[in-house]
Amino acid sequence: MRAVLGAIAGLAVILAAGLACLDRCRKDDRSPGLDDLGVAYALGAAAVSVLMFWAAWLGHASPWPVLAPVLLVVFASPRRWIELGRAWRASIDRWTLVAALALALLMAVNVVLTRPSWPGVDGVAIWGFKARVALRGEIRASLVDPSRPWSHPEYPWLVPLIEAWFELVSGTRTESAGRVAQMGFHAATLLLVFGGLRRSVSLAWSIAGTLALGLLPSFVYWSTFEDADVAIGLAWAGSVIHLHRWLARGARSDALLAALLAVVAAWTKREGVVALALQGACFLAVAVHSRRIGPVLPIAIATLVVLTPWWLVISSCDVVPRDFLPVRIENAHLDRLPWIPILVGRELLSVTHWALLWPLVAVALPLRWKERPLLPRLYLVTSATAPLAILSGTYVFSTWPIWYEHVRNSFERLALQQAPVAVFFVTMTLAAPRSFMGAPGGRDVKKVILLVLGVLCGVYSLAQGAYLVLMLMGRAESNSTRLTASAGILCLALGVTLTLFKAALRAPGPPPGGAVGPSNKA
Amino acid sequence: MLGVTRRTRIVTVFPAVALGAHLVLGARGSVEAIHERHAAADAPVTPAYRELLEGIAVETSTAARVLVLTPDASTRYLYRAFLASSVLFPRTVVWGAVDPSTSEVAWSVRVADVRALVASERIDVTVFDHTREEPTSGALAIDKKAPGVRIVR
Repeated sequence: MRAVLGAIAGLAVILAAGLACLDRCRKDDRSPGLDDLGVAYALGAAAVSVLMFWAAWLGHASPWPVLAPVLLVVFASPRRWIELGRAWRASIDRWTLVAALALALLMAVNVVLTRPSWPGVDGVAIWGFKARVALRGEIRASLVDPSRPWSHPEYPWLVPLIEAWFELVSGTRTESAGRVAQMGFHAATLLLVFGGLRRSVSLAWSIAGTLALGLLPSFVYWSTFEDADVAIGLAWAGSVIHLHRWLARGARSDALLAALLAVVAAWTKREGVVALALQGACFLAVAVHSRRIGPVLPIAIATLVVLTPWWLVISSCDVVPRDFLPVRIENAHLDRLPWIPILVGRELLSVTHWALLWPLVAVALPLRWKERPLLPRLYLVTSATAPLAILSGTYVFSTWPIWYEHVRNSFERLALQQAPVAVFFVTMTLAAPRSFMGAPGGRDVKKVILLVLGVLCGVYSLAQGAYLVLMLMGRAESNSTRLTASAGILCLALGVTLTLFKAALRAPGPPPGGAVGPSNKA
Repeated sequence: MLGVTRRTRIVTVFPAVALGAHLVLGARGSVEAIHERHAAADAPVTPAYRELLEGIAVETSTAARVLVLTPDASTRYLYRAFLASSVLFPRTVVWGAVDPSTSEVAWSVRVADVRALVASERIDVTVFDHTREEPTSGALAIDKKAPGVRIVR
């Protein structure tokens, strides 16, 4: 009984902390939606984990360092919470309520079906172990313990500290408490995607899009594993959805939330650094291009508050990362380049893991390309594809003796982190077919598809060419069979690339004076 | 005009068909994923093993060094060795196994002679997880009985 009550109280505290953060950020936008609950869970988890970190760092293991500030924020302005409640009630119509109930049912079924299974090696070896360490207030000692290099001491601490939070409030000291945290991340991701879609497309498409994520086999498989991939997927999707909205509407609060959630992604798992860098680059590009400066000072303060604990962790432990060599050109195994796209492509085309998600992303890319306004569309296309491309490139630094086993073992989880964004992107594209066909330039969709395929083949030809050159220079292992096969594949890839480009140039372009939508012509 | 009509139809029908196909394949794959998760659940930890570890945590000082010996370095035993590390923290836990595949796992020691390892690693507690020590040679052997423990004081 105490465990159940503790879990409910733990969830309530995380949501209260998150909603308080959200309310402070959303001063220029008061329209609540179900996605707010997803964002609140991510922000609340970050806030609770940072408070837990400092308490554990200073040797305390009690809920008060978290409870005191959260209760202070809640009781400092009770009227504000009543106002928020009213705004929530007014914004929810009957159908949204039905959709929310259906979502809750989907989550409950998933949780019940996967609950009895084991929490995974990482659940015990990394996050579970660290949760126990935090509860003893011995974070510092664990970082310099040479007998536990397998626990990835240098990793960010959001997930273990949230597990520790649930263990603390529920009074249990096993990994079962961590499941509550994981179910929270799973539910928050579904709510975020549903609410995010609901703000732009119809209710039917929002439900279909959320189901497309909720029924993704990999998402189901990993949803209650105690890994950090669903958690980082939530933060990354939240960041992308808000930055996309900032580009489309220009509201300051969206930029702030996008930045905050990117920082949360970095505090969740190392791959979050890629998300943070991409969001930062996009932010900078927009600032330079359209002279639209976002809220730089609050973003800098939030980054400092959330990432200082991680900096402390990294500077306190002397662990060399086990799976990858340091990123330097002399450490790069460039001869792996031609094989990485093949392995990655094979994984992404696996119907048993992804159903049709990634083929649909490939189809949606050119459809989205010509839509106006350009900036938000371009951003959505980039955010759905760039992180995967960057993360696949890191395998050239893999230290695994059989490096392609490393790709096979870990790429599914890397793709899982991008899946919510991919589902959001695909649904946004498929839900508005007339906009992409009827938009100016919409008639040359065939041309764009051929060009995109041509570019993909071109990239593969370049990688194959680089491999051939490395073999000829003696930098990659070679024999006559490999050389011949590689040269043959290169010729074939170049031929296909040229054919695609030629076909693209011959394909009919838009009629003079701009395209007319099919509905107008009919 | 015919081309436009066909395109209009494709544009209207394609998204629904694509998403519908995705949902059908996804639902089937999800059921398989859940089966796979349940199959993985057969393995690792029994209440008896957890109880044994908690008993060691109560009986020994936090400075004790613990050796967990398992038949092999498979995921099943990796999980149990990691659980021992977690439950027994801050005691140092060394993991050893009899299997030759152990040499491929960076954090597991291949055990030929238990007594030699206990001496060299200054071990205070040895957990025999489905293993036993050969009385004459001191070599580690596989034993499918419940885990046992030896505490050196």
